[in-house]
Amino acid sequence: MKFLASAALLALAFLLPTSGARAAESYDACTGTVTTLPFTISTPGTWCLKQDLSTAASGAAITVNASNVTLDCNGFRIDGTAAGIGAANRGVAASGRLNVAVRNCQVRGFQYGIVLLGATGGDHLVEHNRLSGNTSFGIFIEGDGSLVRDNQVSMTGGSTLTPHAYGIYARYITDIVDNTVSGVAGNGTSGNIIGIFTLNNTGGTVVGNRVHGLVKAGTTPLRGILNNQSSRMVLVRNNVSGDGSAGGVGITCTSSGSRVKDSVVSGFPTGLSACGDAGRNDITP
Amino acid sequence: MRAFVLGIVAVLALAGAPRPAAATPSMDACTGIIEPGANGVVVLDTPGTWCLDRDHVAGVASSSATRRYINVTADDVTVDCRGHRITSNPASTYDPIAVSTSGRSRVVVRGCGFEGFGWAVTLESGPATGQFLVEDNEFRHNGRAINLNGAGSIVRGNRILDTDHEVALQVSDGGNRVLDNVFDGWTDASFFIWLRGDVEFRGNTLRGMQDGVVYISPYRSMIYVDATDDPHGDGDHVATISDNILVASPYTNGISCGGQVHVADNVLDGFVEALIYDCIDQGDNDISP
Repeated sequence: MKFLASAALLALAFLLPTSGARAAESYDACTGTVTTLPFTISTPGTWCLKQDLSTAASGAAITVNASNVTLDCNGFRIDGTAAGIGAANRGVAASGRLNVAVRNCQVRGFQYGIVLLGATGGDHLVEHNRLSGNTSFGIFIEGDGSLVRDNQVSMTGGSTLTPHAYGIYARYITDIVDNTVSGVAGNGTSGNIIGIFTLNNTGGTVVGNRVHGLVKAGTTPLRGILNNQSSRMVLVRNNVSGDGSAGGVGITCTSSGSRVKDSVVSGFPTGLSACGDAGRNDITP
Repeated sequence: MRAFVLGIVAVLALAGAPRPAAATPSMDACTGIIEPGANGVVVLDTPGTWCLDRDHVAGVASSSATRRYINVTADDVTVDCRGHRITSNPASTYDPIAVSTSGRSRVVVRGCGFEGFGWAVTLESGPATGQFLVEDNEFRHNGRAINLNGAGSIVRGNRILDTDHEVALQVSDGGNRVLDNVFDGWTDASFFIWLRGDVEFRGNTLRGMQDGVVYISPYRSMIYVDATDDPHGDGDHVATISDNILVASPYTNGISCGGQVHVADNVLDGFVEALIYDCIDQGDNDISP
C-alpha cells in the first residue's frame, strides 16, 4: 500500500503538466494527413502528420505541389536516414510556390532537410522545426518575403555528394530570426562550412540567432554568418562562435551598408568583414 | 525505503513512455465555428472564441451592409482562424473589410491570413477602452492592413506583406503597443505606418516601401508618429519607438514625429533623413546613409 501511494504521488508530480505545457490535442484543423512517404500535397490547406514516418527512397519525402499549404508535423518526425549519406534526398520540398509553411517537424537524415525553391515563389514560413543529421543543408529557402524562425538545426553535413554544408541557406529577401545552428561539418575534404548563408538578401534581417559548433573542412575557412550580394542587411543580437581556425570570419557582409549590432562573435580571426559596426558588438578572436 | 525506491522505478517507467506530441490546436476551445449567413456575411454577437475550420472566400461586397465579412457586435469576442485564410471576393464592387467592429472592447483577431481586402481588420472602440489584440496574422495584398482605434490595445507578431494602398497600419488612441511585426512591401505614396497617441512601437522590421521621387516630401516617411493626439484630453503623450529595424527604399525618410516621440536603439538604414521634425533621439540609434 505504501509503495502504491508513493508511486502514485511521484507519478502525479512527474507527469502533471508544468505551467504553459499543452496537452495532446486533436487534428480538427487539418485538411488532410500525410500517412506514408513519399507523399505529394496538391491541395491548399493544412496538412498534418499524426505519426513518425521514414523512407529510404531518394527524391523528396514530402513534395508540396500547391501554394498556400501548411505542413504541420505536430512534433512528429520525417526520417530519411536509411537512404544513406550519399543520397540526393529531400525531406520537405517545394518549387515555385507561394506561401508554404512548414512547422513543428522533426526532419532527419536528408541531403536537404527542408528545401523551398524558386525565385518566383516566396512568402514562406519555416518555424519551430528540429532538423538534425541532414547531410548538406538543414534549411534551404528561396523567395522574397520569407521567414525562418525558431528552428533548431544541428549536426548538418557529411554528404559524400558534396563537401559543402550549410545550416541555413536563404536566397532573396528573408528574415532569419531566433534560430539555433549547432554543428556544421563537412565530409573531410575542403568545402564551405557556413552556419547561416544569405544571397541576394537586400534589406533582409538576421536577428537573434545562435551559431556554434562549426568544424572546418580542409583548407576552406569557416564562416559563421555569410551574406553574399546582400546590401542593407541588418544583423542584430546574434551569437556566433567558431573554433579559432585560420581564416575564419564571424559575420561577413557585402558592404558597410549592412549593419551589425548587439552581437557576440568569438573564435574567428576576423570578427566582422565588410559590415558596418552599429555598436555594442563584442568581438573576440 | 523499499516503497520509495519502487516508487521511483515506477515513475521512471512511466516517464519513459512517449509524451503526446503537440498537435494542431483543437476546436474544443471554440464557442462556435464561423459560417456566413444568407447574405454572405458573418455577425458575431455573442462573446466567446469563434473559429474557422477551413479557408473562406468572403461574400461579395456590394453595399455598406455586405462589405464587412465578419462584423463583431459584442464585447469579449475572439476571432481565431487557426491558420486558415480569408480571401476577398473578386466580384466585390464595394471596398471589402474582412473583420470589423465599432464601439466594442476586448476583441481579438488571431491566426488569420487575410488577402485582397480594402481594409483587412478595422477595430474601433466606444468611449470605454478598446483593449483589442491583433496577433499572429498574415496580411497579403490588402489595400490597408490594420486600422485600430482603441486604448490599451496590442498589435503583435503579424506579418504584413505587400500592402497596396495608403497605410499598412494605423493605430490611434492611448496606451497602445505595436510589437514584433514584420512590414514588407507597400506601394502607396503616403505613410507606411501611422501612429497616434502614446504608442509603444518596438521590435518591428520594416522594409519594401515604394521608391520615392527626386523631390523629397517630409510626408514620404516610413513611420509618421503624432504623439500630440490626445483623444481623452488627459495631457501630453509620449510615444516610444525602440529596437526596430527600418530599411529604406530610395528617396524615402525614416520617422517623422510630432509631439514627444522618443526614438532609441533602432537601426535606420539608408534614409534620406532618418529622423525628422520632433523626433527625440534617445541614443543608440544606428543611422547610416
